[in-house]
Amino acid sequence: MRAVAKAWAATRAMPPREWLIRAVFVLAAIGLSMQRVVIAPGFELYFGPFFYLIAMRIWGVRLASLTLLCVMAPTLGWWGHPYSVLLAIGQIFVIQAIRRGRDGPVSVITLIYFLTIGLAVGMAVMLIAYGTSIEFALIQCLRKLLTEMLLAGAADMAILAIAIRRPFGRIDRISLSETVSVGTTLMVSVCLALYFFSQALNFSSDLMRERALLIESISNAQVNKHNGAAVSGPRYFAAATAARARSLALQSGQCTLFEDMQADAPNDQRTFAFWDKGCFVSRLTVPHTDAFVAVPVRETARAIVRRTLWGAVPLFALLAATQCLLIFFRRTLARALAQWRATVDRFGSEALEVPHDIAFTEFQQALKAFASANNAYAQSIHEREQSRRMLAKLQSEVDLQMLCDVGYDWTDNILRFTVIDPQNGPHSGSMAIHALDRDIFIGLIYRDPVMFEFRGGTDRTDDWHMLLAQDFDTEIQQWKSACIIRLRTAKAVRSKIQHNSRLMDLGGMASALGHELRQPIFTISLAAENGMMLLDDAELCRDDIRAKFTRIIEQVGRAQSIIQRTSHYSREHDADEVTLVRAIDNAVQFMRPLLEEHRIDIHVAQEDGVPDILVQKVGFEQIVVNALRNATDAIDQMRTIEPDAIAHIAIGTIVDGDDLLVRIADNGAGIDAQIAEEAFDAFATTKPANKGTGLGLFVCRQIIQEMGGSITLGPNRLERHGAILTVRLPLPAATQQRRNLSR
Amino acid sequence: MAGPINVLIVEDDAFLRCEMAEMFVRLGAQAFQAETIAEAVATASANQPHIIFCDYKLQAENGLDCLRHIDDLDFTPAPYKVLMTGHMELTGSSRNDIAELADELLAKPVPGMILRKLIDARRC
Repeated sequence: MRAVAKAWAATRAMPPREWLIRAVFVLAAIGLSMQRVVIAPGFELYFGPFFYLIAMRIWGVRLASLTLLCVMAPTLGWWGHPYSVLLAIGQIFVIQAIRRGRDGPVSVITLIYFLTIGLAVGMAVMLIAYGTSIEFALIQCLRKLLTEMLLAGAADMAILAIAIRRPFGRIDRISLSETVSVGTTLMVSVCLALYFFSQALNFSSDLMRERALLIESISNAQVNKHNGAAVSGPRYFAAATAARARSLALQSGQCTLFEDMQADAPNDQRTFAFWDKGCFVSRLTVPHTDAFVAVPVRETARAIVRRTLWGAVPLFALLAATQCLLIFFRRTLARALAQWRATVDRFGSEALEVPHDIAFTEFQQALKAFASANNAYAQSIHEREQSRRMLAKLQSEVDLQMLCDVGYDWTDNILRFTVIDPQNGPHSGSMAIHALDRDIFIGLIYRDPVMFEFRGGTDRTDDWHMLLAQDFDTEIQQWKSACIIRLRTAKAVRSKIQHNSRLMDLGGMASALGHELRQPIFTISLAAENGMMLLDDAELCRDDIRAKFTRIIEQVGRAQSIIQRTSHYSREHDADEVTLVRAIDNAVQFMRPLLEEHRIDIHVAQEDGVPDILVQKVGFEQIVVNALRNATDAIDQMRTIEPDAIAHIAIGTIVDGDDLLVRIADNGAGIDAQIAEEAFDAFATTKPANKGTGLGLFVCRQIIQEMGGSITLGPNRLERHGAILTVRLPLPAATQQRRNLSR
Repeated sequence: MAGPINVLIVEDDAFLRCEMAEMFVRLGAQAFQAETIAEAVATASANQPHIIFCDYKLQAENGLDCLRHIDDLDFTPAPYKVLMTGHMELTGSSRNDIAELADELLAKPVPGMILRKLIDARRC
């Protein structure tokens, strides 16, 4: 009652449209449930299960129970027993127990229920209450099973149709696996139902055919009996009249229904009652004899039913196979869905991979597309993050100004431009250029695009900037667009590279230095031994001992100078300035062991009147050392072809206008003109992989540019082969003036 | 062996050459010094040496060439030739030449004890 009240309360709260739907449903349910359709003799269809199952799926078990009582009530009147009502109640409670209140198709549960409980109960009722044969009981139960299956399937399909059209009550989505299950099961059930339907339709004709054969057989038996032959065959009751034959059969208790009785009696040949208790009554076709027989139908009907049942076996096997396949399908689908969920849950992670063992191709394709899109997304997120970090780093490292109309005023040595300022609007600006970078700027005019480093200001040498400019207008001599980046760490990085390059020079010198140190050590050790022997000498002479110690001290000093020269060269920071001549000499001394080892003569010369300018000690020494090392390598290369060639390097210093030129020439393997142009680029090298880093000349150019000079490399025209490195340094202004005056 | 052992020292470093000569004299040998191959060949021709100590790298010459020239003098018995070097990275072909021309290769600095043993061995 509470359920009814609740349903009523819910019903009252419904909108008119729902009212209408429910009213139509109730009327249709009551109207159709009052009807039963005999689709074949003994094969009846009634619509009660269709409605209570729909009610079950839409409104739940309580309203389904109420509906069941209403729509199944007519069966009590039709068949006079509550068998169908009780099975229906069991059905909805089993569905409720399995579904646990969740909505879902009911046809598969109905199949299982009627194949187990329904079959057991039905067989028991038929065998015990009616005492019928097992074949009749079985075919009756199977017909019942099929009827219930069809109705449950129809209910599921109806719900499916509603769900596909629009949300309705609790049915707002459909399950793929259950839709497939319902569809497949329903199709096989329909096949089975059609089979049983056709068999039921043919049952009467089959029975009549069997009857004719049976009477003929009995007639033949009567003839044989008359002729004295042995008789075997079905049991029958023969008499002179049909009434007598019926009476005999009735007295035997085997027949209560006869086919020639009036139609108002329950002798319909299509009913189980007739199959069980009916008798055929017929005149025998024996010549010259007027006889009638009454033959029980039971055995003949059983034979026909048995054939029908055997004929259904392949279809039931198909139904079983279908269910097995559906179980496999559901499990596979569940696994594929779990893999799907696991993949989708990893949304946003990088390098997402699709499991290779996904059962369904459609899933795999969809997941592959998902993974591909996800990876692209993750990559874009990664790149965005990387860009963000780079931007942050760039902002922390550089001070960037966007410019336009950039021109160089060489008279004032000033760079003039218009600053593009998004906040305050464009405004003009300028930047003083360091005197040492003036020549570079002059050389850059007309070039497009340009990218180079320079120093700002007039006194500072560590205020480095990078200019990137393009679209040079030759008429007004300006670059239309440009940007200037203030370099905060470039100088430090450059210094580090230069230092590393020096350390690499040292590494290459290790062997030669080792040899150079072994000489004084050997001398010291022998001097010490000789000193010891002197001490043992009876005629000890102090002067000899003093000379020995003096020699030892000298040799220690020699070793010390070698070590000092080396360690000095390896220092990272040395801002000392020395004269150009001294710097060249230091570098030559440093390299002397290596040159000796490679049997290379070196000649240093200076033109008369060359001013001895000051240069950055470490930087310039590094340039000469690098040049000598490259020359040594080139000579080694040349000697692979000419092993006995005499090798030499010449270092000359001359004045060329306002510049001072230092030329380092060798007669090594030489260098190709095109390679010479690229030789000053970073990582450009022609040496074997383990010999050169490609940074030597790159560092040299940086050092020379800092000094305001330039450096070039080309072939040595004075020799058959070889190269010449030319360093051009601007003479100091005072020196230039003095020279100009003297001219 | 009758008489003192003649030792020829071929070394371009004058200080080292003098110290070696002084040690050999103190050990009772007769030491002769040479700075170049020409000097070495001349000295060897004049004073048939029993043992020669030769530097691998002379100022502008090669110690192996020096030993080759001395071999050409065909001394009997042949002097014991010791090559000394401070260069530890010798190529394969150099090692073959050394093995062919020198009886022993010593790495600088050579301990005094080794020099003594070499002289003593010649004395026996």
